[in-house]
Amino acid sequence: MTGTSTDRILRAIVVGYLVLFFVYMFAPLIYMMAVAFNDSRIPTLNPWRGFTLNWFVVMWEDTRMWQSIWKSVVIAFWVIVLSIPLGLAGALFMVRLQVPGKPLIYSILISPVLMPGIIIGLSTLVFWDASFDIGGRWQLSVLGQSSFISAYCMLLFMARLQRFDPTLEEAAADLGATPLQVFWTIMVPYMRPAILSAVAISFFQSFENYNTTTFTIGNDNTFTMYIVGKVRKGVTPDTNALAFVLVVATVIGGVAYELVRRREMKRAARRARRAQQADEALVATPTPVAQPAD
Amino acid sequence: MFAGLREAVRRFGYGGLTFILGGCAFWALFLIVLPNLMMVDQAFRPFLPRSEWGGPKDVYTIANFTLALVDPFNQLIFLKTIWASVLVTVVALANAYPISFILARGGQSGWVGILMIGLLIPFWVNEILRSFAWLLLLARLGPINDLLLLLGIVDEPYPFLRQDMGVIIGLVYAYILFMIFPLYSAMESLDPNQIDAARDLGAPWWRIHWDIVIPHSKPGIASGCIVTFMLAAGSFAVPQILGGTRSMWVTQLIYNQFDAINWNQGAAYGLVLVALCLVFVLAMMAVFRVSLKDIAK
Amino acid sequence: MKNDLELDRVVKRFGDFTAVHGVSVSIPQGEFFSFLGPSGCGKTTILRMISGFIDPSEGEIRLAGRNLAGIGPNKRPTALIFQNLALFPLMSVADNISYGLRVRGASREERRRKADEMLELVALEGYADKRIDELSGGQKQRIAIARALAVEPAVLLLDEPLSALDLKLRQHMRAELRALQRRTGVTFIYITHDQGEALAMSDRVAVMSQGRIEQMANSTDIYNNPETAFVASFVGENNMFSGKVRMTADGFGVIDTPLGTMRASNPRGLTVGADALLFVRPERVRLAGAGETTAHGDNGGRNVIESEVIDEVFEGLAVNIFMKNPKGRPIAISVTNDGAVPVLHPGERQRASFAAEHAILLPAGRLAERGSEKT
Repeated sequence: MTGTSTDRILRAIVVGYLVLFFVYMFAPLIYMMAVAFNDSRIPTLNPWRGFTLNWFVVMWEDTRMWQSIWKSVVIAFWVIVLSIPLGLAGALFMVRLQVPGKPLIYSILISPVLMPGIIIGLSTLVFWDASFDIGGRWQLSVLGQSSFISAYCMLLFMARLQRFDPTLEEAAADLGATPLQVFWTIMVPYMRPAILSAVAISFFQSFENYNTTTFTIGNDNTFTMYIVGKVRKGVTPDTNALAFVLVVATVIGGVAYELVRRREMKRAARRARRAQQADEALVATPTPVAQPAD
Repeated sequence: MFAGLREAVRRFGYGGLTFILGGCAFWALFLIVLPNLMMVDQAFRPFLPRSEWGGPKDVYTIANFTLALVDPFNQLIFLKTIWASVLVTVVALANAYPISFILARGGQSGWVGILMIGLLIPFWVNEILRSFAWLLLLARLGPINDLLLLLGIVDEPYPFLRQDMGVIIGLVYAYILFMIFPLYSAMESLDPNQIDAARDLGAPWWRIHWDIVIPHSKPGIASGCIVTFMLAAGSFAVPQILGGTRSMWVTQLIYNQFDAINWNQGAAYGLVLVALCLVFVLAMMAVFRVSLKDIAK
Repeated sequence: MKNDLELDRVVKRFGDFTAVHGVSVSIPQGEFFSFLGPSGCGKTTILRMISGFIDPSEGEIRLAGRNLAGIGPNKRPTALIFQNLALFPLMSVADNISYGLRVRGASREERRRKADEMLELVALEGYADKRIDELSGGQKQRIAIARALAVEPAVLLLDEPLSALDLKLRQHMRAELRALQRRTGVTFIYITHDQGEALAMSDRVAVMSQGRIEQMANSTDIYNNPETAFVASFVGENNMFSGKVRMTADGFGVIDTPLGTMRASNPRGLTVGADALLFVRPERVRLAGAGETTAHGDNGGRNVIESEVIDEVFEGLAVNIFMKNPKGRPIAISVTNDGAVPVLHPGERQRASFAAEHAILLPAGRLAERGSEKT
């Protein structure tokens, strides 16, 4: 970079813009979290009435919250149980099967990702209720959420499957493995990182889902519905205490996920380096097997 | 076709193939196609108590759609939702473009990695909490009004939350990251030498963007716009939290019908919304001359 | 009955395309047999049919007299070494080697014992617990062989397993493979487009082209006595002249070429009037002495061709001389470097000379495409 004055001005504008943007991204969250510590019945920092942790106690002691969390966990569990196999089936179909009509099937399976969540909720409810007269219930939330969470899983699996070397399966079969053994000893271990990511993402997506769930759940209450309920009926700062805990948990979880991912990438790079060194060492040393036997 | 299936049997066995085909069939049929067909079916039927289903009054009708499209109040809400979603998309694009460009030009430097994590953090926080944060900021006695009063810009607190303004601010905040990430990944793949070459040839900055950066990032721009628009138009929690009682969004129109157990009417509203969104998406694809394949990248 | 492998009029069609046209081969147990040919000649298809990944459209593949039709790759007593080796990246070296035993339900101790035994065989003791991505190219090669041999196959199939290695390692591994095959006594069926590999290692070689076997013989015969124009042009370097047969006698033939008549051996018994190609190896050609005439034919003289030197390339062991004849066609001569090779200059007039018994007449036919296939 040359140090002309236009460049300096440009730099200042760029830095200023970045700072402003990040203030815009973070200030609302920080304000929301800070309010939790104000000893005031109204959720505000102005006026400041002194530091308190009382709102965390109020938040913690609400049994309805714990019930709604439990319900969300149950739904998320079943969403994972359903979405991982469906996503895997979809990905195998897309990447590994040579049949016509794949683009159409792909469009169908991926369409729930773009579809507004409330439409998914409504169609799920209408279909199952009209067919079986069962009304809204948490099982329908599982089905509704799975329709698009399976698509996220499928995309994750497809990305990894596309790098899969099919000769590994052939090698296993050639060594005597049945198709089932090939699946469990070759495919599943290969897919394990993607499956773990998919479990994490499915849980996260299901747990924070609001739109589809609201339409399908009937009389039950999930954690996000509980939060919306609190936000809409006259807010007290115990909601902020809850928000504080959730943001901190999200940040810790997200940063941990990101750090693990980066460490894995570094480790792979290190292994590749070591392999290259081994190669150089081998060429230098002849081996006894090269000589004819006896 | 049969050759493909025979090869699949050899590879996955009958059990494996059953799992793959059965899984896809269950997913496509019971979670996607049949529910949507049923919703279309219901949208064309009148709202009746269950005892009268299949009875003489249960005939196909377009009354639900007529109500959605002809009623002036409904017309207003549909128009407003679409218009506001376009506005949200444009504002998000205008802000995401420079941010993405700066980050993409940063290349592999360490600060880009830190800023990317910095962007991911608000992205991970639930949109309900992010709307809640703005509910506090935009409140009648909240810090933004405090600031505006202090600066003398307004004489009395501005009622953000009783206007669509609050919803639009909240939607931009909630979905701008869905614009940044596709833009960033499209711009990141641009060879920096192209920009340097253009600058070297004397192109002014706006020409560099118009001739090089924008054409290259077109798929990213298109997919960012489509996703942002769809999220805004289909947003439910944000208008519910920030819209107050006076600001109506199509999703709330649908929810009110759902609440009144008139799913037939709700389904019709929903289909109109989906149809309008589809028109927008197709228009975007035509404007940017991109196909679904480009966007999926 | 011994584990002899037979291919009986095997045909493979993919849609309208016929990849293999009625190939019949009989490979006795313990032989090192190679299929040699350019890419697309059908050799890989044959390998995949033997290993059971695809079924023949017609014909039978028999092992020890038993038809293998309908038996999947996981139930065949064959083992395949893949071109990219296909080692399982998430398993240790020992787990890779003992995979075949694992899927057969062998105990942990048994698997460990086999892995150690195989590692000893390929001289990689102590590597059992390494990860695959810690191995070098040559080490991976040996682990792939160990893994395949661990299931004690009757036939080991190798699909160009050396192609990923650099030249030095490749030559080293040739010797290693040959030694391993002798020691274990397992039938090796080797697929390659590299004639050097095939000729150096094999007991017998089948040269393939367009789904058919052109010639099947030991390495010496493939090189010295090619039976078709394709084999002559594919294996090794060859000078070629085309013409019509004018007369034949005593196993020799004389052809008319644009450069005059030439005489050569006629093993295929070409008759007068037939279109023929004359092949002669560069190492069988030399520069003509001053006394040599251009006479040839019944007087037993040599074939002599007036030429012009293009270039002389010194390669250490040999010196290659490239010339062109009056019609502009190239002639290559390879002379052993005995210290008395004359220094030639481009443009110099010289005469190339070769004996009739060193040249061979073959029926005109399709030739191998020169270029990337040669190494």
